[in-house]
Amino acid sequence: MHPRRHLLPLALLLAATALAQPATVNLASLIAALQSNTESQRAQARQLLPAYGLDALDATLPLLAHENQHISRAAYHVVEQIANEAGNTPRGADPDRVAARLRAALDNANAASLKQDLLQLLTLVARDPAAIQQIARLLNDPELRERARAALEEIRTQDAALALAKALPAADRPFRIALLDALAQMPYENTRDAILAQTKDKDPALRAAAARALAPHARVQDRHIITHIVETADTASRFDAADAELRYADALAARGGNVALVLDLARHAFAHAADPAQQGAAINTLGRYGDTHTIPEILALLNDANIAELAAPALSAIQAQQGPGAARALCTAWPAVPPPLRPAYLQLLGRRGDPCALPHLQEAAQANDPVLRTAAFAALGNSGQPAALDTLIAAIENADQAEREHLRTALQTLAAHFAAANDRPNAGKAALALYRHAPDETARAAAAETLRRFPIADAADVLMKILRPDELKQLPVAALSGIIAALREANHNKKADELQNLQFQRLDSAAAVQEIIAFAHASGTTDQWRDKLGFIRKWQLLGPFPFPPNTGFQTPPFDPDRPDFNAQYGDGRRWTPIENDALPPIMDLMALTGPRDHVSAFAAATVHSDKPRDAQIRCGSDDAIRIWLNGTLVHNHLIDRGTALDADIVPIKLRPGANRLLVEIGQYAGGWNFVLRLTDPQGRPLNL
Amino acid sequence: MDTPHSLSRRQFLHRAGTLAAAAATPAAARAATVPINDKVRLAVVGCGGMGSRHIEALAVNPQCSLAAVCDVAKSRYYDQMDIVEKLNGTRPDGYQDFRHILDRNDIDAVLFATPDHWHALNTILACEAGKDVYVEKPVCVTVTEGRAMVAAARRYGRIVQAGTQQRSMPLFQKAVELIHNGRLGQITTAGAWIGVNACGVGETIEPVPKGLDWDLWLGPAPWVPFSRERFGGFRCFYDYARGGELANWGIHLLDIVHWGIRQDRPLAIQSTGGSYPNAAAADNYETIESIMEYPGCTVTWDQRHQNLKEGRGYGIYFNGTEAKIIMDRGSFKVIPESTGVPEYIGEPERSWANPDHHNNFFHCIRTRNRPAADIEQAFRSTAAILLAGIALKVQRKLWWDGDAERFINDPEADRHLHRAYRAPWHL
Repeated sequence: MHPRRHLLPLALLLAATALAQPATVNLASLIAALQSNTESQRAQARQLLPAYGLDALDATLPLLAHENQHISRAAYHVVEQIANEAGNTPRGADPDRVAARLRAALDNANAASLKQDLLQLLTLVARDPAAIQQIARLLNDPELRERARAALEEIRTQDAALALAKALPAADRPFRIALLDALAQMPYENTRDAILAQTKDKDPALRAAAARALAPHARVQDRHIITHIVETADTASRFDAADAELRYADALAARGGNVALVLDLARHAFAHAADPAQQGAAINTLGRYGDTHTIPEILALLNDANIAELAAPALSAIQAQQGPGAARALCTAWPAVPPPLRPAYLQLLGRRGDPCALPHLQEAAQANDPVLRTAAFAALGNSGQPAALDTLIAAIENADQAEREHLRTALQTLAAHFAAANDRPNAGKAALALYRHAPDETARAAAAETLRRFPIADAADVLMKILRPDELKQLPVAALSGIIAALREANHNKKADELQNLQFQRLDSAAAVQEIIAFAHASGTTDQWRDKLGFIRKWQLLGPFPFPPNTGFQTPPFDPDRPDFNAQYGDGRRWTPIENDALPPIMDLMALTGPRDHVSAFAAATVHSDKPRDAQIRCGSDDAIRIWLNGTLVHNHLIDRGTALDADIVPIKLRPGANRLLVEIGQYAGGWNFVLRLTDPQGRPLNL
Repeated sequence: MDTPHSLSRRQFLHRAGTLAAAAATPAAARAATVPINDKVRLAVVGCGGMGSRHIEALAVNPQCSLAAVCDVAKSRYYDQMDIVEKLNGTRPDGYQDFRHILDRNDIDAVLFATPDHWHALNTILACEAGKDVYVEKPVCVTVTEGRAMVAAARRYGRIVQAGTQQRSMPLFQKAVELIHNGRLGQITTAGAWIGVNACGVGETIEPVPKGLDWDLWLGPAPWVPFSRERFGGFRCFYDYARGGELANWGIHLLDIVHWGIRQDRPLAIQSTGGSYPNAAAADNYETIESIMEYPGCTVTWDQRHQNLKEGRGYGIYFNGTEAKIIMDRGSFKVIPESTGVPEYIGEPERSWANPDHHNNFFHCIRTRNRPAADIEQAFRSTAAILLAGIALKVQRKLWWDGDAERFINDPEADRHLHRAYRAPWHL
């Protein structure tokens, strides 16, 4: 009986029951909702029905054939989820019982589209041999065989594969190829005999498909079968046959230990390839799995007739060779490189960055052939070699307008390489050459920008020329550091002093200090800046002490004016000297006590001033902070926050001689730290 | 089964080749590899929303010449031929079947902006035809397909760049550099989110419109009658895209997560989700939450309507032991400010078709270098979101063996790593 006729009365009965009792969510009401015209009701039904398992399945299956596509589609998703849960999750219904119901529905279905849906759903739960056999029987049905094949391929068990293999002898040619393609996706041992039988078929296309199915088995003993199929292929099947041979080579290589055989297969595939693309694949196989000895072999396979199409895979193949030995082999092979390949080969040599390539690149940079010269310039640029810089600078001096552009591009590449490696002298040298040979103001400005970042002594005159006073004032404060160093190296000490003073004047904000910190990290000069930004980084720390969230700071357990650094508090807490070399020196109090909430800690330091002076304390804290100077509370900020540089600014007066700083940091939760520095009243660092 | 589609791939190409030969430049006329200063001769296959954006950008890119456009719908490729002619004065050739393009010897590379279910086969066939390939993301709809794409690219020695263009955007390059430089400390959690899922509801079967090769549009997917919802909204159907936004924005964003944490193979995956307020007939869920465990780092995917974080409708975050970074295509911000890293405002994104990413592809065609979004890396990023989709499908936690590319002791889940192709198409 058609499932619609068989089960529709049940669905209608359930729907009628639900309409009579609309307030209750149950199977009947959900089935009714699934058939409603309201999308949101169907959505709710779709979501809840799978929880009713087999009962929901019985009620939903008939709706797969519903004439309203929205309803049949929603029903499909419900059945899919029930089958999916049965096949995949412990909470789902018994998969065999779900499969049995789907199989019964498949047996009774008439419409092809319904059968196809049911076949697809069966893939989620069909495991037992009876289910596989039922699907396998459909491999003989002209209307359904393709869906049945796909279902078995997606079931992917050994039984499913075997069912496909058994269908091979009776199938017509196109379907046999489809079956073999499915078997290629699941290389089970139990299908080999059936595939091997197809390798003897008189149809070359079938033999090629069989070779493709055999390839992933990666059996050494299949070698002669596959090479024979390649050798006996006709024009139409030659590509598929040779492609199967290359797949076989890949599979053998992946299994390991078959290098000689893999290379022989590549050579064989090259000789029997259907077209240049496939010859290229064979060459590429040689390069991927062979050692450096394959480089001359690959070059020898190229000739005037095939070079245009084989160049790219040949280069990929040669490029697959890695390591210093490969770089030397590439250099050694240079004389054998066919002329049309030489420009691209030069690029490859350049990118290796091995000194052995440099003579070839330098020689090519002076060749008569402009294409070769241009390629050599680019390769020199990519080489990252300081000696390449000298070659390019010498070349640009005498180059014509067109060639100068190529040289400039190569110099830019080199400059970027040196900049990334923080090779300041060579980055500056390349930038200076670019500045001097700039074709226009835009290019000159770009070169000047690089020079500002990487100033060198040779460029001091340029720097003095390119940096106007107003420009100096607008330069990033960090950039001034490199320029000052370049001026000192070129003995322009007076100008260097001027710039140093200018830089100091501009260090009057947290942003400027952060810029210097970022520069110091990037340039590896943190040692030079550690004690020049006013940070106090040597402290005595003591804690923890209570910091109740409702009251905050408590009375200190000692006289803030006279802490006794030898005293012991409570259960053994003592003052601990800490020196922080980080930049910025954020004092992490968790390092003292481990992660704690609702506690505080003290930090004490002494600064010496040569005279009475107005100054500022600039601090950031996580969380609350209060500060005493010489025993007087000068700052009290009860706050829950993260640390930021100069978050609080506190005007103070320092006395001559020693000044005692005491800081208490209250911790609510999370991070617990502070950072503090001294500045003059204008915010410039005070390094005492 | 005697339509052109029933012919084996090469049989088709050899027949088609005789037709196209007149239009093709002989191979010998081309130089050995594309010289540094020559234009790459390119074809674009797929003239829909994404393809037309690519065409608009490529038509005015001096590094390439757009030789051909192709779409299964004739009207689409005719429109694009007109647009290219208006933009640069040259009229590209037009094709309905991409295999004609693969048979032209004068075309160096093909960009595929086809529906997801075609990406693998497009790429593999193009590699076999000796073309370099730019393929849109997600690069595949199953793990088996992705691995086959990598194998074909390597076997045939082709450059295959994926359309995960954020790899070429300075904003993400700088953000990832910060992460790799340790400015955030050790990254312990990361993730991405999206606030939309555009899948609609239901479909209406109609006659195939004139000029559309529906059978070719379906290609390796199961045959179904034509509906505009499928043709125009393939992303909502499991046969053509797996995961809706998870496979759309998810791959873009989680690709950057992979880049940042320097890992691309999850150890375990869990997902939950559904189509709650609506869409009872939708294949792909509107709401998805996934957790992917990587060695030392947990990654989340969070897909919900109106899912804003710090005012961003989509984005990526990395939580380090020292600081956090949050980003989208407009900017990134490091928190707390005491790290000294200013907020970075990126270049305005003029088009999803990113010229820098195109140019990286052209550069690699010339140099044979691996591109910024090489197929292996793009496949692994795609695989992660596919695994999240499978975890959603099987509704339980899954453990992944990244080397074997199979779930651990889970043959039921393994079945979802593969799909059968409709004959005669095969991997």
